[in-house]
Amino acid sequence: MKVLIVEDHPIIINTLSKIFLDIYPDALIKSSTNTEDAVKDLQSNTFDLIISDLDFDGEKRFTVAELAKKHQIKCIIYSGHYNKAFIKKAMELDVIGFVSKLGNIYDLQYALKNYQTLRNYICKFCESQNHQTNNNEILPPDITGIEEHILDLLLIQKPRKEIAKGLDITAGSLNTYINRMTAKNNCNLVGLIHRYIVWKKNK
Amino acid sequence: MNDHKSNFEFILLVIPLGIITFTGFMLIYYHRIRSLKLQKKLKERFFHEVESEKIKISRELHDAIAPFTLPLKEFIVNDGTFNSENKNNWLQEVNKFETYLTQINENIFPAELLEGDLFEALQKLKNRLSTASTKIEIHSDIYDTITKSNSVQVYRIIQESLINAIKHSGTPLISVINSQTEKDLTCLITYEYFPENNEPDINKIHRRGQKIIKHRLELLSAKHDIKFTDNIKSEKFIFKDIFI
Repeated sequence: MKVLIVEDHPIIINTLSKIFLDIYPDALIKSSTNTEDAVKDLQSNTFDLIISDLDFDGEKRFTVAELAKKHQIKCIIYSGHYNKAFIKKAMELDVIGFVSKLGNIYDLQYALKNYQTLRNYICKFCESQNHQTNNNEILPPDITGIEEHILDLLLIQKPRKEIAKGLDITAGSLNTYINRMTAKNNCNLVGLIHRYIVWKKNK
Repeated sequence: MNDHKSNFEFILLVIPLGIITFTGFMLIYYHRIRSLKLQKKLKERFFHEVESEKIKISRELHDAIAPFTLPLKEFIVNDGTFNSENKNNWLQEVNKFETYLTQINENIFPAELLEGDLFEALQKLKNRLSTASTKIEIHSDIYDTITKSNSVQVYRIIQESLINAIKHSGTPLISVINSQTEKDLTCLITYEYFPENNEPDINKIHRRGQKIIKHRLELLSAKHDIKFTDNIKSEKFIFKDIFI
């Protein structure tokens, strides 16, 4: 089997080759340290697998993956970047795996070992990093009509004295309302305001 | 006859004087406008260079991590000197080191901004800045995109503002709401603030970070509104016509 490693760091090429040869001792490994050479290699040779970094010297990050798709060669992206946008783009190009250089080495070994059956594999590190960045689901606030009115006034930064006066209640009663709201929703006033704004926007 | 003559002389004097004064004012106005435009261009160029330098440093740092840690991880896993418990401990240490360097790298310049993905970059900023004592909640309700260069400016403004809030307020929670109205982006940052003597210095810009915010806001012709009522401080940034 023939493998092409596209990576600008010789140390990583050596280590990847070592890991790969440990799994497939008969593999023939070729390497390119830049996209230009990789393109030439792909035009003049056939490969069973490509392991490629993203190209940050050129404008196109996925030149090799695009070519791999064109030539119907299995491709694993092995990069230090793990952004959602990169992973999405890689998956659109039908790469069989996206493995982060900063992830667990066992994930890399798994991807290399199972490359023949691998499809849309994303290493645990990439998954965990991108899971954290999703907009957290926010529970709607548990508030009554008057409490909603108070929150609207707090949102426009109206002083509590004025709010109390406008509602014809004492400042103490207003504080009781606010304390009750925050206790009921198990958060402080800033947290409640946050939930209230999000809820209102989604309403 | 004499009256007519003196009137004529007066007019003869006033017209040139008027023209000279008007021309003088126009010249001053023109130079003022020109110098403001020049200042804006210089600022733009300065910030562009600063960010380009940050990208370079960040890339160097990023590129230096894996060539060091991958062979190390491979050695730990495949060399016979480590037993399985030791192996996992050492791998964890290497991962900690990688995470630490990655965080430094992302603080210098988040890779998401290379693709103009401002809101993804902000979510990751939230994860990095949140501590055991201060939590940040970010909600973005956005459906259009922002140019890469403007994304960087907006990111830096919000980053500086969040760092200031964490540093000076001691609040347990900071709320950030990003919303889009037509082509405008509004960013509302709200948190509890208990200043000394109950006198917040909300409009003072003597701090370096505040000055940087001011310059970046000027570049984007953005509005910044700070309110402080009953120990709740809110900062509203309005970026006009920022969406493509």
